[in-house]
Amino acid sequence: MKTRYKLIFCLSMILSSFSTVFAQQVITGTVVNKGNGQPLPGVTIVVKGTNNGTTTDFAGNFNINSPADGVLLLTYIGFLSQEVEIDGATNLQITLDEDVAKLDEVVVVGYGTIRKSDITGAVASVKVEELQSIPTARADEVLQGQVAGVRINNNDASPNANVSIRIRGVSSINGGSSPLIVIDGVQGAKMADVHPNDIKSMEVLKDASATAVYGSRGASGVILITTKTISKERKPTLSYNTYTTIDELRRKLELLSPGEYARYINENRYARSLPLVFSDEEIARFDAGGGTDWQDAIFKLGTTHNHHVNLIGKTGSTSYSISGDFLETKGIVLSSRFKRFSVRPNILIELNDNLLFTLNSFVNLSKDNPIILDSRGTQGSPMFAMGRFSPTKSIYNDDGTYTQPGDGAGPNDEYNPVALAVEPIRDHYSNKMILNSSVQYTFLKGLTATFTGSYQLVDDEENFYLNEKVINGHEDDRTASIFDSRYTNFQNTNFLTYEIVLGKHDLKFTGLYEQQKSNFNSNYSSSRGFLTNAVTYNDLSLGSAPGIPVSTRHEQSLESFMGRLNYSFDGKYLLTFTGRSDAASVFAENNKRAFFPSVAVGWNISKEKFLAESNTFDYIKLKGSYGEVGNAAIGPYQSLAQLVTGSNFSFDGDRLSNGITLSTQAPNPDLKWETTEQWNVGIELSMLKNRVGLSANYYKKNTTDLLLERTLLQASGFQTQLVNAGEVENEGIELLLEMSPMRNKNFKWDSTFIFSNNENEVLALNGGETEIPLGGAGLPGLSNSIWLQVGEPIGLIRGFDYDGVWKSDEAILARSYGVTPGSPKYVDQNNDGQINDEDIVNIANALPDFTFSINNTFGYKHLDLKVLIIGVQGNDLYNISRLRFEERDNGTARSLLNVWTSQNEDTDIPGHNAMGSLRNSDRWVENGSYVRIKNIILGYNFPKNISDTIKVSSARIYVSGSNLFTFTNYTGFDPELNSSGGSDTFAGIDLASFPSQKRYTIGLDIKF
Amino acid sequence: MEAKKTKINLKITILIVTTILMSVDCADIQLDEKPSSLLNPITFFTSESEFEAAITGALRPLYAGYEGWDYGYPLILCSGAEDVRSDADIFSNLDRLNANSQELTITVMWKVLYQSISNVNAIIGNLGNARNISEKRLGELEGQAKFIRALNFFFLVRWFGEVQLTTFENQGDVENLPQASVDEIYASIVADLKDAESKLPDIFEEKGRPTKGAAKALLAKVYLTMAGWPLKDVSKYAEARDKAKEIMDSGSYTLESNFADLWMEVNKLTNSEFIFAFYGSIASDGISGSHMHIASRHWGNGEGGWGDFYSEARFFKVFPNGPRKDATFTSVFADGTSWEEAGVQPHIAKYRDAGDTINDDGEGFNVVLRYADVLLMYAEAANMAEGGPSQVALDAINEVRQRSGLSELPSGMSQNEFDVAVIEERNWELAFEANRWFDLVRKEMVVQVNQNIHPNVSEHNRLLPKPEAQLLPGILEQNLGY
Repeated sequence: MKTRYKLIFCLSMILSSFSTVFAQQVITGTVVNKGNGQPLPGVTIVVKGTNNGTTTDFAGNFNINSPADGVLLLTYIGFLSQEVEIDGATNLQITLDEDVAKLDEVVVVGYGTIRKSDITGAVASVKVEELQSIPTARADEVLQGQVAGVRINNNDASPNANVSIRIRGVSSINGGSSPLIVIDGVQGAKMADVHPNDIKSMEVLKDASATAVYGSRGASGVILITTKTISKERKPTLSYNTYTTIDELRRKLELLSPGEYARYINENRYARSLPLVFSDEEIARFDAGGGTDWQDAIFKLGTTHNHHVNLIGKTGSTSYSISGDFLETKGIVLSSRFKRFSVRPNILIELNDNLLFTLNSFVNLSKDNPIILDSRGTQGSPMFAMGRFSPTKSIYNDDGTYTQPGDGAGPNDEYNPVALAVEPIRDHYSNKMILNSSVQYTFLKGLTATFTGSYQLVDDEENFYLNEKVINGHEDDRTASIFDSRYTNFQNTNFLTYEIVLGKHDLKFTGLYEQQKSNFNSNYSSSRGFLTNAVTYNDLSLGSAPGIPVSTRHEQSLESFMGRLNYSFDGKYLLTFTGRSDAASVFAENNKRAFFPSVAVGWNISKEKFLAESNTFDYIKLKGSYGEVGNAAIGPYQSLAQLVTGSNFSFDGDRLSNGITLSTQAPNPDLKWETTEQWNVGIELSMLKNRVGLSANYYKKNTTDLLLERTLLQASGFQTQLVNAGEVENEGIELLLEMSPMRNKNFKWDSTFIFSNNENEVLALNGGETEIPLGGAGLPGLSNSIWLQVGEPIGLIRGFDYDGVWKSDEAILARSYGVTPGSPKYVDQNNDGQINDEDIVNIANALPDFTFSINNTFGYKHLDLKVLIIGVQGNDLYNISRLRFEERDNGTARSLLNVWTSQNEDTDIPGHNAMGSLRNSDRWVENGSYVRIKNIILGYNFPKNISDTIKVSSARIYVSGSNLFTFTNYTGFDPELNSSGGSDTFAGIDLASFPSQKRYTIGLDIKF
Repeated sequence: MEAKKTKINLKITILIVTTILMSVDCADIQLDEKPSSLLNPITFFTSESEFEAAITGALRPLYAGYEGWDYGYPLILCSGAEDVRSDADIFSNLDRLNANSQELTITVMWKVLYQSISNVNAIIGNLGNARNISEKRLGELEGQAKFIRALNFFFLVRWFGEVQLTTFENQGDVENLPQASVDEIYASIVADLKDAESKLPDIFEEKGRPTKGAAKALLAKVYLTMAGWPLKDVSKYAEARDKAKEIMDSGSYTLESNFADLWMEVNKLTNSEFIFAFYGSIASDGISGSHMHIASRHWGNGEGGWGDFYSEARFFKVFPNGPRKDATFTSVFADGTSWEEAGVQPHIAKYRDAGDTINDDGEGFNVVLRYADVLLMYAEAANMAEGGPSQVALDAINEVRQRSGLSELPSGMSQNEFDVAVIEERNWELAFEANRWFDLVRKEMVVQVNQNIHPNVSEHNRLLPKPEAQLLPGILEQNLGY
């Protein structure tokens, strides 16, 4: 409590310190092309050392607020950028030199910016306009297919979807491989919360040279987002963007109709010498439309609305951008819903020539009503129950209660899908706030200091209530729980940059001191046996049997120093050194401080004489880098000796006594970060008057000291110890090809092709181990499905090699394996006459061989058309839900109609009396490759005369379709789904997650 | 002008300096971890309630997570005897005396027994740090801890033979702790139990705590086991007899008059017969609930169980008729179908009643020591120690038989006849209570009883294989035959 007040106090002090406003002066001027004297419209002009900028108008005129002794930095695509000292003048005539290489754009790298031509690392600048053109209100989802080497996967397609981001493969087994997200310098914020319209720039740092400035948090790459602050115009501009989407289930599973199911079950029971369940009259009734199509029952059309408003402008020395965003999605599964409201007020004040103050703030309130995806039974997933609950049943009984499992139709432990979707109340509230203030002071030309303090708060509340209706139970079955948690993070970043030009030598030095401290605390309370359903979870005292409350509190600190040197000789030869030293509280006592160095070189070949005259190549750069970065994904206190609470036991069969046990995880005083060494070589070139651009990179990442669990002898009382061991390698190629095949007055065609390939391999495990079983696929009886094996990639699945069904004429051989014809036949790998663990082989791998995307933008007069195609190839999916949906006596999959019988031998679906179906086998493995037309967007920009009439400065209306066409052989809901919530080791498991949708959108963008 | 600029510069300097200072101070970073919500094992064990919580925690591994007495693993490890059978893939090897060193049940039982031991060791090793605990209370805590340790090692040595004998001092370095001989392990068990016996009270308010009587009963069982295979120290028969007699003479326990009442949940705390048992609870959503009721019930015929394990026709058929048989087996299921009609094995009745349940959790119980066992131990030990059955020994077994509706054994039986009769009686009386297997082992009857049904049986089956992953050459060696 005390610390929190202290933080608030500190922030308010920092904020209130800046009351003085320093005088500025208005500079006007004109910019012309030096070659032909024509005025240049759209030139970007920035007061150097500030974020204060503007652009020239149609006649090349501009005006800008600047100190009288300021320096203007002019940049314009296709021209050399130029610095102009104002030196007291109020009107300037400026000429710009053409530069075919157009590479002097400034790019945000961590802790500062750098000219694009000076970049030596693998840094991808995302085309923000592309993201903003896609009607999706979260920055992670829209990044799909936009950057080479970045894989975005929608692990489920629910309204508040779980989206995973992987940059250059999977480098950790237990530490997580999500990149570090940095928003306006604040580390660890959530990308899903950012509306693409609020983004000014987004950079993806991929190689060690680029990410080493983030040290122990940089191993999985870094995504830098800068939100809008600076207005180019003095006049306030108001933009309003809105869209409405209709979502439709992309693909229904092929399930049995009620009549087919009834006949199938009767046939099955007849074959097993059991009494039949359905009479002929009942079957006739089902054929006449009785029963329920459970997919139709739980899925509906979903809708999404988004409103985004932004006001950006400048008053005196103050620039501001204020955004408001409202998003509401009603999902395609009954009662799934997500609502979000956020505001992002950013201000920038130029106090005087040398002093700049910014305040970026963000408040985000959301309410999520999720559908449970990863469990079964009375609180299970409706999508899973849908493939198991008998289609012969109606949704409700005559008395209005839900139909129940049993009566010979369907399994006893799978409940009414509609009840599972509708009855449980899951209200998840999340309140987030970020306050981020910074002061930048320029001591003298080239020497600038920046101090930033930021405070993040994430306050979550997960409420749950389940009445008795799912099981037609009574008061005792009513349960409720509340889980509250609060995360706060304070980050203090101080850095100094010094840039000096000595002849042809250009040196830029950055020095950093940074501290971060985060706190997490949570509590959980629950009760059951509610005497009334009236107030649901809102008054736990109404329950008769309270559960044991649980609470926890964690804190962690990180202290860092970082130094970076950028050196350039004559603009041709580039050299970057970085080093970051991180001391983290989560590191064990013997390894508190880590150091991460990197070095990179670059060669702007096009500046050499022998290429300067080339008419083909506009620009060529070669670059190479090497560095070490870390992954500090150790949880707080994981290296320490611990006792475990909640080890309760009853001495009288009634009351529980509070019990304490030794942790089964042994302490490790040497526990430390995972280290990733990465090599990168790349080439960037543009040719044919910038009509064609190519960027290609090759990388090799070796991650050692992986956080792995070592198994200990149990006589010690310990089970495991978290240690640093093993090695994983990722090696790959990234290709980005940008083309402008057509560009004339009326027609414009831009095309981008992205290709990424990544090969993942486990090189070593703990000690001399060659394999580790990680666990089952999520259904009882299927243990040890997922493995790690030296020489194989992460995401390895093992099982038996399914060889179809034993045929009638193989009865004798089948009997020698203890089964009868109609049973699944597995390959006896070692020919020892029995099917046992020794016949288990590697059957699948969940990581793709390569991914690609093709993005085409066409413009014809006022129309624009964008088509984004994405593809993922070479990954396997373990469609384990089929094991249940195709269960011989309880499944509802339509494939069961092809069940083996002595009259239907030519099938892969085992017979009614099959033995040994419940096994990990490649019967459930499917090719997860797909090509998808992700987005088609057709827009119309109102011509100026119309927009003038309706008194807006610009207006655009568009329609779009997402996921309209998907080319895949996968039989589940969607090849992107991952039932393990984004886990890499357990990737590729599909237990009927939240299905994807075809989305039809209409939207409007207006600027006032 | 110049003055103003200086003033502004001064302001700026102050601003920057204070900003830096405040920012740096605000972070308040701490690189040494001082967990505010975690307990530290080094400093924890001092007060009475802390030791109490540790005792509770030491029993937790034995009764949680479907891994101990809350579920059927202890029975599965004893399923080489006639009473218990399972055909489930993961259990059947033990039933068929074909166990390998990677059986899940074996691996899990080994784990939970050692987990319990390591927690008790931490209690015993930290007794010296106790503050403000009376000598009597401290003794009661130590007594409970030593009883639990002895119980765990007693199961370990009977199932696995030579295992590592861990203590607070050596459990941090088990890679260098060679397995102890069976002799050494029993010596440690006896020492712990004698100490426990001297320190434990006759009665605790909570029936689930080990008492002086429980220590004596367990000690009697330990002595009786030491008299048989593998130690065959026949001098222990007299000690077993004496210990059992002490319990009989104490008058603390009597046989419950109606055998069926013993297995009713409502009687679990009030019956006069239980000496030490595990009790399930449904409090807090059943986090320490029993599962035996659902695991041991038939899955079909309206029973709604899991049918994970049950009894066997061969055992049911020879079991003497009477009220005891009726209360021991479920031979007719809920829908009126008999086990033969249903085409399944007769099922176990002793765990059927679990009182109130939540989901799969109940308030059932697993009795580890009860008075009927003590009477039969006395009968057996006295007969063996004294060269033949005394009247007291005869009375002891007949008290048990009488309740079962069986005729009394006549006097004048030979020592061997009487011994056979007692072992047989134990088989009926203590069926499904993890007794018969250990009787078969100590009386060297494993092969004799199983050879007709499981021809693969051999003398090495007296011990189970030790878990493969726990073996370490020169430290923990696999048992012969595996």
